[in-house]
Amino acid sequence: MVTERRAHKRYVIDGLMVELAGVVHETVDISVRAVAVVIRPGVDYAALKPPFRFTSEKAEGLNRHIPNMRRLYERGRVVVVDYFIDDPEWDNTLAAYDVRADVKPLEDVFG
Amino acid sequence: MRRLRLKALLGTCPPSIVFDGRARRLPIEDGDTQSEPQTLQPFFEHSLFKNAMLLKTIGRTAADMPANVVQTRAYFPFDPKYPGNGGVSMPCDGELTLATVEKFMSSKIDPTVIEGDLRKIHVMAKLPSFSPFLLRDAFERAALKVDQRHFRVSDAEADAMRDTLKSKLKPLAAMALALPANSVGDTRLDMLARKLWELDDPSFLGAFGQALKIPEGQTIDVLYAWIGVSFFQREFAKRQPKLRELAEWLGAKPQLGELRDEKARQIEADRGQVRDSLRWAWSQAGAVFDRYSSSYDTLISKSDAKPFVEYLQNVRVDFQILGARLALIEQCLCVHGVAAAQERGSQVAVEILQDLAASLRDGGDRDLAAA
Repeated sequence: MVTERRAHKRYVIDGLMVELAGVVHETVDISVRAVAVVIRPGVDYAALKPPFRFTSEKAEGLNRHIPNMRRLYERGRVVVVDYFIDDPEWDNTLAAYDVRADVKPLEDVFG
Repeated sequence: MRRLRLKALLGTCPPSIVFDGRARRLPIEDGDTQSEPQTLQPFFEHSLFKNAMLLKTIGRTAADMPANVVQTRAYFPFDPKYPGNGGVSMPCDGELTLATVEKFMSSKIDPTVIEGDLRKIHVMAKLPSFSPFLLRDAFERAALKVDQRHFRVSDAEADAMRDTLKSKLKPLAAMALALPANSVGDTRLDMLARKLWELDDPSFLGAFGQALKIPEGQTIDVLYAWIGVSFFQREFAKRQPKLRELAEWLGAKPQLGELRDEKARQIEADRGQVRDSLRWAWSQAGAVFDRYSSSYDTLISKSDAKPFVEYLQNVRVDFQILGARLALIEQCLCVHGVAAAQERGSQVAVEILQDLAASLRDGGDRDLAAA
């Protein structure tokens, strides 16, 4: 699964939060299968319990129920959690809200 | 000749290279039939500067490079009603002194009256561009109170741009999570991103700068330049459609049937010169953005900060380079706007293009500087 996290494109989304075991967490980055969040005190990441939910005040399309979540690993103040959303467009949705989505590479207009 | 280009620039005032701080009538908002038209007072307070216009011009620092650095000049029109009809200009840098102004004006000036204007000019001269958002943001950061209507960017536009740029700081804020707890303080990512935007917490910035191998005392400038490059990425992308039009215009075969061979060859050479300079500026900007994006993508995708740290070593130079490239592109777009509006075969179009090409051949705005 760690390998899978490396295989998927990661996005950074401003204001995207995730509710784990009833506690709201800030996301660091997210791919279609894993999300890195800032650790909050008092949460047992080894035995995560629902409800799980993505929340965003800025983007309605990101507010989603998550059926299951499972800790992959912790690194410093960040924990990486596996999840799955059954939506073939989920990767495109994440890409649309990525902090780099507004930028298009310059083209060679003189070519 | 040079007056044609000066007229074009001052007539259209491309905001990123011309700052017109003169008094002006403000437009009445749509649907408002009650209000009287209001006058915006001059941006500068001293009588010497109240009709001045500030220009970002291009200069050359190496013989093998056209148009290399961006400079700031204060332009004083002989006739403020017709600024394109000529005037005098003086260079302004971030350390412009009263003595320099007095020498230029050949007169004594009361320091207390001009102090505020000098501070404003210092802020503006340090920026690589007069892009309205950059100007407004720079004055807010410098805590200098000015009438923001001079910057021609609405509150809503400025807020949206600030939010966009601030959001790009999130991966940097995540890097700060690895710092010792006592230097980070609040570990909420949005608070850390706010600190990186405001650049106002010395102990946090000191520790962060050290982790990023930024030389002591330079963290604020380096991070500000990174934000600036991020801002310019959007500014350049916005100009791409117009630049494409200009590239096509320069590439099209002009109708030169009635002109003698020598004249026709000169026009072709001028078009080639402008095209080459523009292509060079555009590709230089593209190379900066490639470096910026590649290091940022690696930081996000691989949690690898090394390329990002390396990129920061040169980011201040990149920020200035982008200002110079934008100034060149903006000036060419402005000239194109005037030339393309002329009838086919117009002498004005030929002359203004010739003037632009000559300045690019010389490597800068010597003629504008001498205006």
